Amino acid sequence: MNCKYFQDLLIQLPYHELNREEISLLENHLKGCETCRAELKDNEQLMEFSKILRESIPSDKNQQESIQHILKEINNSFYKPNFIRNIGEITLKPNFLFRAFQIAINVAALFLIGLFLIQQLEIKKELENLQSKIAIQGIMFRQKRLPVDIKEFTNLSDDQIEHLIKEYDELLKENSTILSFLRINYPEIYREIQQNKSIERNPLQNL
Amino acid sequence: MPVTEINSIIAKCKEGNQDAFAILCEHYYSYAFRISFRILANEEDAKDTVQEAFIKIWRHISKYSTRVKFTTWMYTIITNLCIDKMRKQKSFSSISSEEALMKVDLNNQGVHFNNKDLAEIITCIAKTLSAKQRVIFTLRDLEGLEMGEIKKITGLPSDTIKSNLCHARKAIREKLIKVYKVEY
Repeated sequence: MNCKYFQDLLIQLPYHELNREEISLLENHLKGCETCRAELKDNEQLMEFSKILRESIPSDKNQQESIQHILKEINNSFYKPNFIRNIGEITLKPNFLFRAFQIAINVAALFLIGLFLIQQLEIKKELENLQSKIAIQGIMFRQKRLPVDIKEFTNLSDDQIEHLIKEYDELLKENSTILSFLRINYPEIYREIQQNKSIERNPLQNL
Repeated sequence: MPVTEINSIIAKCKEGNQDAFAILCEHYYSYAFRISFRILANEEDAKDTVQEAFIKIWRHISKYSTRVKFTTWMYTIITNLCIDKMRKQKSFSSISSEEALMKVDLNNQGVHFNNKDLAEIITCIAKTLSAKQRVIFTLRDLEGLEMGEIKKITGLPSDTIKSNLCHARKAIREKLIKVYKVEY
């Protein structure tokens, strides 16, 4: 084995980081290698150098001031360990206004969100009403054609038809169709219309 | 301070007791400053990092489990903050010449350096090291921590720690040889 192999072991030797096997391997090599012995000496000097630095312990002259700063910071912080927000413990401390301001902002935000949701619900309701109104208008539009059917397929006079339409308009409010109205109230007219209509649709029926 | 006492202080901190946290700060501040200073080699940066670390400890103390030593957890927070700081700075703020190393007399073990001299020496030796190498060298050779603890702090595998440590030691050794050979 060449010296390159032992370099990593050599640097660990002064720090007692090698196992027995590695130590004996290295010792055997060191007996016959002057270069590695010189390197070991340099490594021992490096360890001495680190030891001197280790003994010089740096200290903060303003430690108390710095600790006070930390405590002030955590006191001003809204975040507590375990995310406990001691709202119930609020007293007239110097940071009371700051905490009150944060709570007020949270409450205002919640209020605005609530208002927005209520508005959305109201808009939804309005839209539904509008849709049902449009649907009713559509039904009414289709039903307006029915008096023509009555004129066409019955022998009723204009006055009689007018009377029927008036009665039907009243019932329209209850979402009834003119045909169902006739079927219930004037079954003979209804039958007449149905009979005549089917003849027109299928002229072969008369043959 | 006995472990049981520390654990009871930490339990109080978890409940939001600021007085207990003040005791914790008083007890561990010097340890935190020492390691932070040795990595960053700057008094102001070290102080800022320690303050930031303690605020972080307060906010996340609920996550701390007594299965790990408190110092190990604290060192993890500090070393991560130091690495972030070094990466942001990219280069040393203070300029240090290699003559600073001559202040160290290898034959005189009893010398204690002040913060300024120590910062100059550390800056000089750590100039060519990567952030990871500086942290590992500081934890092992300057703080004297065990490999197992360094593994927990850095979250790195043993082989990576060993190779980084080897590189750091070799780089510093070369620097020392250069300076002391000139001196002799």
